Amino acid sequence: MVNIIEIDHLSHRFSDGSLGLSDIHLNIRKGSFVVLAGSNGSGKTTLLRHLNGLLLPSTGEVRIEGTPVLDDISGARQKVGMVFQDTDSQIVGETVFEDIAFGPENLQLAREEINRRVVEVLELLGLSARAEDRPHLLSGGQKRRLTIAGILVMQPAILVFDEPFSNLDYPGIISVLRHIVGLHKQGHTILLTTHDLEKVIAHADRLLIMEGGKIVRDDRPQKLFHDLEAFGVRQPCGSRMGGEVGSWLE
Amino acid sequence: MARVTVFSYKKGDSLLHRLDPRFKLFYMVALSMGTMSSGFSGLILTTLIILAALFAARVNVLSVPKELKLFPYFLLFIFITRSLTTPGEAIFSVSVFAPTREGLLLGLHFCWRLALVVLISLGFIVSTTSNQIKAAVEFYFSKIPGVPEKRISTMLSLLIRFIPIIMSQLQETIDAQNARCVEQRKNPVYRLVKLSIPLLYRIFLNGDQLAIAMTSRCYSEDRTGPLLTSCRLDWLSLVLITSLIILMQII
Ligand SMILES: Nc1ncnc2c1ncn2[C@@H]1O[C@H](COP(=O)(O)OP(=O)(O)OP(=O)(O)O)[C@@H](O)[C@H]1O
Ligand SMILES: [Mg+2]
Repeated sequence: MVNIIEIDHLSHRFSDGSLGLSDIHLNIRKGSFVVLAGSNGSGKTTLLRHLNGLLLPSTGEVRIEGTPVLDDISGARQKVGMVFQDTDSQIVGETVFEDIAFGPENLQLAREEINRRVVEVLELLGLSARAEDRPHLLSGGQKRRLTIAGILVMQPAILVFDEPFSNLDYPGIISVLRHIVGLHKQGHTILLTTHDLEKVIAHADRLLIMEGGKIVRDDRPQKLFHDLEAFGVRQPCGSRMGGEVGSWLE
Repeated sequence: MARVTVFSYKKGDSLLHRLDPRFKLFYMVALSMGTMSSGFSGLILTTLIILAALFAARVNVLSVPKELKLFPYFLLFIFITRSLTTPGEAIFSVSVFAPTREGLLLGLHFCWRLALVVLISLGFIVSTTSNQIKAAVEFYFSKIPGVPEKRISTMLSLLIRFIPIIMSQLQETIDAQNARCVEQRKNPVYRLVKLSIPLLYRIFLNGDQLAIAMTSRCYSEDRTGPLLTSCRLDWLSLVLITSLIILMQII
């Protein structure tokens, strides 16, 4: 299996008749790190929501590991872990531990298995010390890591992040970025949207640019830097100066 | 924002903490009802037992009246009105005020009962996490046919989770409107409308995002339930508490 995500002729029309996505073709290789850029309203979130059946195609098809999403929506939700932009409205538990357990409880795993997995991801995301704390007492970066833990515990192959750096301070960005890069190294396929390429592009191996519900550019990041500003995305500073774009983690 | 009060869960390993939450919930309801028809000796006995249990759980009982602010005054008010309005043998009289013996006893009994119910609830609250409370409520609802207990307990926990968020959004909206001099408007209806529109909008938006996030985490009503196990201690305590309630009625 080379392509973990396959999207064919995908179009989506909203209930008010406007066209959100038009004729999207996209294959994503297993283990790749893809960044999806584009200005406000270009259709990034709409596209992501098709990957786990939150939105369904008007025409076309989305397949995850070869299986059409429509044939196995709950399977797709387990394989595609999705982290949304607003942290507060994704946290459902009264404690950090309980929130992480929410997904596996829905999958009806046995209690011992749930506890084992939760302890494991708490450790992985550096939240063990906060396990019994109430989520709204966490810092912004910790909250974001909690939302990542909440999907990681379901052992997805693909991790989708919609604007993972919004509302974070500098240490928050670094801690979240470090975990995303770590998860990629562990073999997860990463798909991430952002307005601000600077923070993450050094780690990506592919850049997609969306505009008006279409994918208008698709290439290795370095090759697209000069096209970015035509599509409302800021060019990373290093490349503007004619140099390399470095990693924020160094 | 998160205020620490004695009326909240306190980590511990006391007798109260070790009891199954289902039993504790039952005891709380049964004991509170039992106090209604109990005499003074029953009240004394129960109060001593509850105080001992609270003491073992290291609860600072003395801070309760302070914490409850108006409640002690409320009790005093009831006590005085009872003693003045109940007909019977007057103890002394100053102009129109003539407290009666029966009134004093009745007032004392009533206030004691209310205070005892507060202590009983305190024992439950300090020793039970909200997750356990949820599990116990879910357990009892599951015995009533036609009640969707899983949905009720999920809603209960979402409610507990979202009240602080809604409160902070309310405060933020009020602050933002004050910054734009809303207090110049004297019409309270105008201000209420202008306050509720953005607040409701955000609540619905958050609710929508919450539903989407829950769906992508595979939310379903058939989920792994909370683990509740009763042990010998629970059944033993059931026998003891039941005897206590019966004893309260006869002594
Ligand atoms: N339910 C809906 N009904 C009608 N139009 C919608 C709906 N949801 C989104 N849209 C529109 O579809 C377009 C794409 O929205 P989308 O949220 O996918 O953009 P985005 O690229 O994620 O933008 P942002 O960077 O602001 O998150 C927008 O113009 C938006 O107004
Ligand atoms: Mg978006």
